[in-house]
Amino acid sequence: MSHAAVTIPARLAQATRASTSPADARTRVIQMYRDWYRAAPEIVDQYYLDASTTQLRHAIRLRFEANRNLTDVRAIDVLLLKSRQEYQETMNMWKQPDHIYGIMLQPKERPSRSFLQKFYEGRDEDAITPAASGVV
Amino acid sequence: MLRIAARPTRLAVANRRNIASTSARQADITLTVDGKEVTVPQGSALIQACEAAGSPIPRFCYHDRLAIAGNCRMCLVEVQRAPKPVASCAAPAMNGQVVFTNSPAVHSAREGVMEFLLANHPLDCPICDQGGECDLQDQSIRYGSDRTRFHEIAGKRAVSNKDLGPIVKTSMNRCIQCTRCVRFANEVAGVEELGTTGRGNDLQIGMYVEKMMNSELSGNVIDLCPVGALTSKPYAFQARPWELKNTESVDVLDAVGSNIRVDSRGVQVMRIQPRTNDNVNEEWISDKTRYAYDGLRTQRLTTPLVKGPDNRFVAATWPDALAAIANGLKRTGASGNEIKAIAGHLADTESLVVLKDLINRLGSDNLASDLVGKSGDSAPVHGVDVKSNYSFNSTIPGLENADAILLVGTNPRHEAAVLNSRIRKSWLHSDLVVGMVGTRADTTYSYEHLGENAKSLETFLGGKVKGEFAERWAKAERPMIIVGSAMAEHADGEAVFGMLARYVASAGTRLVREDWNGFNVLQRVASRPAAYEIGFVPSRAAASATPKFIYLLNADEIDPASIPADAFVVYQGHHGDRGAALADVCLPGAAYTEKGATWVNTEGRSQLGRAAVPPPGAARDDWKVIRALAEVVGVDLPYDDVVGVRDRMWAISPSLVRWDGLEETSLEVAQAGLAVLSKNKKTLKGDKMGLAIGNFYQTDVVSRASVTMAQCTRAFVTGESEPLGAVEMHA
Repeated sequence: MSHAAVTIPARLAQATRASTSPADARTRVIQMYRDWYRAAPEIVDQYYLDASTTQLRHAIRLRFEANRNLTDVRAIDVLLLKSRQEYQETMNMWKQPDHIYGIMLQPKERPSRSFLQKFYEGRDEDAITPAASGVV
Repeated sequence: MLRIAARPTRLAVANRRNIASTSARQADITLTVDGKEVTVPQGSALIQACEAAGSPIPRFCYHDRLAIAGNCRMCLVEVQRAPKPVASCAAPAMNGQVVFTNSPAVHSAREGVMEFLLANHPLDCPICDQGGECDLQDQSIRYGSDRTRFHEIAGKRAVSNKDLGPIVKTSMNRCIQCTRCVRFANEVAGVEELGTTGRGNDLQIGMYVEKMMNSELSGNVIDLCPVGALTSKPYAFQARPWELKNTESVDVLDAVGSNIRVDSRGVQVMRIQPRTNDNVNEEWISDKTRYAYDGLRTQRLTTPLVKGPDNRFVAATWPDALAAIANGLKRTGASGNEIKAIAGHLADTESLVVLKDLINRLGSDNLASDLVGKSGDSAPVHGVDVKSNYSFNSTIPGLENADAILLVGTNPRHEAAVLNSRIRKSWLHSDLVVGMVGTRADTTYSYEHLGENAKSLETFLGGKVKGEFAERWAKAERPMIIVGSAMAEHADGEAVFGMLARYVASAGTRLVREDWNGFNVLQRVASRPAAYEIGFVPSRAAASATPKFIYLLNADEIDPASIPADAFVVYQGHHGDRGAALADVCLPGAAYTEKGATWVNTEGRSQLGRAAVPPPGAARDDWKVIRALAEVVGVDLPYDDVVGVRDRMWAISPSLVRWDGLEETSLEVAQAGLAVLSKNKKTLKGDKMGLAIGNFYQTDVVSRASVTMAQCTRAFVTGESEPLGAVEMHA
C-alpha cells in the first residue's frame, strides 16, 4: 500500500450536481457502476481481501440492482452522491478491509412484513413511542 | 339544601351568594409598571397588570380562579406616592399609576415577609413531598435570608395534623396560612366546613371538628397548596417531580374529558395532574380522575387467555387466541345479526370504528352497548342520527351563561364532577336558579326539588307548578335543560325525551335559537358520545336477534344473564373484571394511559389522549387487536396503520379527528332532531328516577381495581370508620 502514504484528499473527488433528466441520471449511474466494476481487481488487491474479484463485482451488482426500480431523479442523485463518496473513500485507502467486507455482505434489510406478522412479533413501533412533553 | 325556599326576597344583583366579587368588566385603564405602559380592563388587580406588563410577582395566596384574600403579603409592590408597599393582589389597578416591582424597597419588603414565613416553617424539605415543586422553596431561593435570626426558646409553631380522609395528607406545621384550600373548598368544591380558626400566629386550617373532607374535588387542594402542608396520601414518598415524564392526555373515567397530565416513571404511571383547559375542566379534576391510576397496576390482563375444557383460563399466544376465536365463530355457526358486539365504558373511538367495520363486514348490525338493563340491546331512545339529541349542546363554558337550569334524572356532581363545579360557580356568581326532577342529592348548590318521576316533570312542563323556580324559569333568557344519560335507560325514557322535545318546540326560541341551545344530555360514560357519533347502535332487526357469538369490547357493566349459555364470548379489555369472567377468550388491550386514542366528551368535543407508558405484557393497542382478528377470520379491513384508521374516522365524521375543536349543530338540524324526538309518545309509568351512579368512586374497571378508590368508598360512601392512621397504609 505504498501510495496510501501520499493521500491527496481531492483525488477522485467530483463536484456534486443534480441530474438534468432521467436519461442523464441513468448515464451517471452507469458510469458509477462502471467505475466500481473496473476498480474491483484493485480493491481486492489493495485490501488483501479473502475474496475473488467476481465475488466483489457480484456484491456491487446486488447493490445497484436493489435500487433498479427508482424513478425519482432526486433520490437517484442522493444514492449517486453516497456511492461516489464510498468509491472515493475505498480507492483512497481511507477504509479498513472490514469496511469492504461490509459491502460484500448481504444488505441487512428487514423484509417487509404484513400487519399480522408485526402484530404477532410485538408491539407496533410507532404507537408506543411515548409522546413526552419534557419538563414542565 | 333547600335554601331557595328559605331565602327571603331575592335581590336581583349578581354575586349575592358569596362575599367576594369581581366587578363587571368596564373601560380599559393604562398604568406604568417598571417603566412599561400597560393597558388592562378596569377592575383588574394590580398583580394582573404587573403580569400583563411582564413583571412576575411572587405570590402564595393569590390564585386567578379563587377569591382574593391578600393575606400572604408576598406580592408587595411599590406604588408611587403610596406611603407603604401595596399588596398587589388586593389592590385595584388605577389609571395612571406608576408601579415598581423590582425596587430595593420591594425586595426588602419581600425578604421581610419571607423571613416571617420561614420563622415558623419547618426545615424538612428533604423529606417533604412538595420538594421540587414548592412555591416557598422556589421563592426562598430568591428572597430567603442566608442566616437565621430565629432564636425562640419554645421552638417553631407546632400544629396538629388533620385527618382529611384517604386522599389529602396534612402536615400542618408547614402551613403558611394562605387559605387557598379554604377558598377552593368554599367556592369551588362546596365543602363549607373547611375553614380557619384562631387569629394571627395561631390561625389553623381545619374542618372545625374531627371530620373528613368529603368532596369529589378534594384532590385539587393538594395542587393549590403552595407548600407541603397538603400533600397527596396515595403519592406520598413515591417519586420526585424531576424523575417524572409528563404526557398530556385526556381523562376517560367520566364523559367530561378533563385534560390531564400523566406523570410516569419508567413503565408506571406515578400520578395524574390536571391540565388547564378553560373550555373543559378549567384547572380542576375529580378525585377519581386523579387517583384511580393505581388501578392500572392491578388486575391487568397481560396475556391472551383461552378457556380450557375444565372451564379455567389458560394463557395462550396471540396466534392461538385469535385462532380459537375464529374456530369459535365457525363452531357456533353464528351468522348475520347473531354476531353481536358490545362496547363498554372505556372503549376508545379508534377501536369502536374498527370493531363496527368488522362486525358490519361479518354481516351483522348488532352493535350494542353495556347500558343498564336491556336498554343497550336496542338503539337509544334519543336516536343517534342527530348529534344534538344526545350531546351537551350548551357546552361546558355555556353553563356560566345560563340563568335557569332544570336537571332531569341526573346528579351532575357524581356523573360529571368538574362540570358540576361550573354550575356551582355560576350559581355563586350569578343569579342562576336550579330545579331538579329526580332523586334528591347533595349537589353543592341549592335547587328546588320538583318531584321524583316523569309525572312531576310533566306537571312542571305543563306550567302547573307554582314556586320561585317555576317563575324564574318562565322568564329565563338562557334556560338549560340537562337530561341525565340514565334517562335513556329509564322505563319512562322515551316519554321523557318526547315530552321535553315537545316542550322545547313549544317554547319557540326561548330554549333553542341561533346563539343558544338549552337542550342538553349529560353523558356519564367516556365511550358513549363517540359510539353514538359513529353509529355504534343496533338496527331494529338486530335488536331482536339471539346472539351466538358475542364480542365484548371493554364491556364490564353487562348483565351476565343477558348472555345466552351457548354463546361464544370474547372479551377484549385491560382488566380482569366482570366482562372477562364471562368470556371464552380474553384478549389483553391497552388502558387509556397506554394508547394514543381519540375520545369524545359529552359536548361532542373530540380530544386526543396520548400514551404515557407501554401496555403491560403481551397487551396490544385495542384497534390493532380487532384489526388482527379481522384478518384471522378472513375479513379484509382497508387500513393497517393508525393514520389509515383516522382517515376512516374522518370519512365517518370529520369532527372525530378535529381534535380539541367543537362542531356546533346548526339550528335547523337541532330543530329537526327535536322534531324526531317529539314523536316519542308513550304513557308514563311514573317510576322513580334513580341515581345513575351510586358510588362515585367505583364506576369502571380502573377505579374498581384501585386501592385508593376503595379507601374513598370506605371513607365516604359506606362510611366505615377507620382507625386514625390506618389510611396511611398504602399498597
